Amino acid sequence: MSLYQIISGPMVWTSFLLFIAGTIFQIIKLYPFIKQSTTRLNAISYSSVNREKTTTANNKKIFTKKLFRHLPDFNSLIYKFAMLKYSLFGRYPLTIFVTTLFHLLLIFSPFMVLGHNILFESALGVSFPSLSSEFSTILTFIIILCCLYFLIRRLTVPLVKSITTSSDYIMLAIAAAPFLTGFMAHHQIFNYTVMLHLHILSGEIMLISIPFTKFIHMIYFIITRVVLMNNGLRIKELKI
Amino acid sequence: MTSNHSILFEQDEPSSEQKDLVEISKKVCVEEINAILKEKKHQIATALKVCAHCTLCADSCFLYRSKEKVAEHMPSHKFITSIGVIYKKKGKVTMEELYEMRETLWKRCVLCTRCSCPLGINIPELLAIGRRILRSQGVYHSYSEN
Ligand code: SF4
Ligand code: SF4
Repeated sequence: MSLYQIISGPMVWTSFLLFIAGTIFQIIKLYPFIKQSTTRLNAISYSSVNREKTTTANNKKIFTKKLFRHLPDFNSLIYKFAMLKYSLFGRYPLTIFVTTLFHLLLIFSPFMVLGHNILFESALGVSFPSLSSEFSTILTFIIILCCLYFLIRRLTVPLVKSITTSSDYIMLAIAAAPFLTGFMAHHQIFNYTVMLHLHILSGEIMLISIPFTKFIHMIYFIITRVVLMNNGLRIKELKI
Repeated sequence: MTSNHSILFEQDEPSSEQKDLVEISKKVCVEEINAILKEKKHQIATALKVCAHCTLCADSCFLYRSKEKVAEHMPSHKFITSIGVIYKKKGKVTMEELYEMRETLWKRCVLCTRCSCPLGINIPELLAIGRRILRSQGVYHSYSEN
């Protein structure tokens, strides 16, 4: 068996299995915490929802009666648009734009590359709609640019530097490697075979590292943000 | 008599710095810290794992926005340098370190629960756990100085 056959055969399956098993393991590990937090937070959510109802109603009444009678309804689009500047996007427009773009492309673009879809088709019998080669190249290039933005931000902004550890750079490298090597292999920069091997290997490394490293925020994000609704509640409260 | 007593009392009362020096020489009870860490393991471990060091929580802290915009006032910096350090060292911290953390946990945070993290980390809860650990070792902010 050649090196190519090993890394594109059994190793792909192993990394997918490790990814799925690791994800399930991590969710099960967190289950007691989810249970404990949801029951505890339910109490908070009731009180905060009630508080929101009463205070919002009161505030609106007082405001509209006394001061801003001539202003449009507080729930109107104009009000919501004005509140945008207090949102995370309003505070850090560039970073939020880059992060959103980066995360969406990171998750969805690998499924839309023609080469990957041919492999999916032959291995599983299913495939996703593919993008043209030029468009995939542009998307890959955008991801690399986003990674560069993160790197420059980590290296130059003092606030980010203050909590950056070496693991952050390693994470960034692991995330960027499959795209960089894929880009180089596709355009035959350097040596095609070497780049293809590196592309497959780095993809596998990334997949395996998702449940076991800081990449776990991919999975835990859903739990901490949506299931625990901790932050969602606070955002609601902020609108009072 | 009473005035004499009060004078004596004032003279005997050590200054806060002297008190701190006496306190720093005390030993940290690792078992006590570990008992709290064990109880709150999931909260702390999950937060430290999930935190992407993105600094987007900085602007949500009113202290960060109203004081000098230094890293020490950023919510994630506060929990990483306090409870994060205690957790990573498995409770084996020195009194000196705990006294440094006291500054972070009491003077740079009022536990107003305003800060929010886009990934859903409950930062005030972590800081409260940090305060609890420090209090268990007799380290807390004293309001009697002025
Ligand atoms: S606490 Fe949240 S917002 Fe703050 S640095 Fe960590 S992940 Fe980012
Ligand atoms: S709880 Fe502490 S860190 Fe959070 S906003 Fe209030 S003062 Fe800042």
